[in-house]
Amino acid sequence: MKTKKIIILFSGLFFLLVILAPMALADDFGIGNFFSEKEQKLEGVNSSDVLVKGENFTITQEEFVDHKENLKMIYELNDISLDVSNEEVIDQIVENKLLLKVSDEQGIEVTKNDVQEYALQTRKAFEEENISKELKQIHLELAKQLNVSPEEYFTHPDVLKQYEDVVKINKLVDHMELEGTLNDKYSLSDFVHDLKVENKDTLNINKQALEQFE
Amino acid sequence: MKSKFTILICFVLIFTFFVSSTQLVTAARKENEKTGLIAMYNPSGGGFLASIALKVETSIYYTPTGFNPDYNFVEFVVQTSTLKGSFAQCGGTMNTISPLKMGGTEITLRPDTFLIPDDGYARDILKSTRDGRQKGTYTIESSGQFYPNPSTCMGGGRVTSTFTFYNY
Repeated sequence: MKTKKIIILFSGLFFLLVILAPMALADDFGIGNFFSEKEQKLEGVNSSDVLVKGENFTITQEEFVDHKENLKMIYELNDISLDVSNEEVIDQIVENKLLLKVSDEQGIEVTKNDVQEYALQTRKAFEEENISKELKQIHLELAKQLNVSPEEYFTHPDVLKQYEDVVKINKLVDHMELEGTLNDKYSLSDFVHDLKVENKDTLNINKQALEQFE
Repeated sequence: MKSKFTILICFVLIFTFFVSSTQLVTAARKENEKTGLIAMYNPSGGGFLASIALKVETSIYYTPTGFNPDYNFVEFVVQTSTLKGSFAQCGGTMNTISPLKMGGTEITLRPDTFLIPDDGYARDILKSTRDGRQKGTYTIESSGQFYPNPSTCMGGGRVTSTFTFYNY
């Protein structure tokens, strides 16, 4: 009788363990699922297919899908439905590309040290205790994507390239402020607006290809 | 000769006044600065982890012999780095904790919430609502919070600057 009770108790505990373990191990925010779904979507896109052709730069379909899916995740995590049109997504990517183009034209140089400093700052920010669970989970997923440990993420060449672009644009803005192009009356937003208007006619968007991402 | 002497005297007096008043203002500032790092996620370029440095600086102005109503105010500056260009999209609102407290008395904050400008530099000056000439110990605490635009970036955080000032 006693043995029977013990068996029932252990069976119950085992059942609870089987049910609860996957729940405890799974991330609460669906971030892991998001990254898997994004990977699947990106597999269905030809990485070399160009969606937007500008002067001295292109935006591939892969870049577009990647950016849009990232926005979607941010919206979902903030409980907002995605109300960004494809054109607005392209606009965001173009903005960044144009600023990088201007940086190169202006001869803005970024040293290895600048990039490493920014990488170190970001690593320190992610080591802070008060960092959110969502950001921790995103860090893990991004490292997993690159097949590196979370610590190694900050020294990965792909990540350092992204940091190089961030630092380059910051340096461009510093340079423009110093030479007086940007001032109290003409802000960075004004400059970006004018830059987009100036380059509007040079952009060639493959609208047919864009429709498939509606 | 006499007029030259008068001019010289006037020049010395003006120079002395200028130097002393400059020293008065210079000596009348106490500040505390705290920089914290804010972790972010940027969706562009495939999505990457990013960060901004958020600096909160609190200064109090006073005359060396005690508070002077003209200098009796607290200046509150919140400054961010790496918020330019690609991060400008992430610039949302920066909130300061209101009301601030100075020696247990509330200080009115103006304005409460402000947008981070393109250069990532936000500045606000607070006027003390109490008679600052009162002697005693004051603890001033101010915080800068960064909330990125939820539709374009993730992350955020708060940096608090605290310092104690003794008005002798």
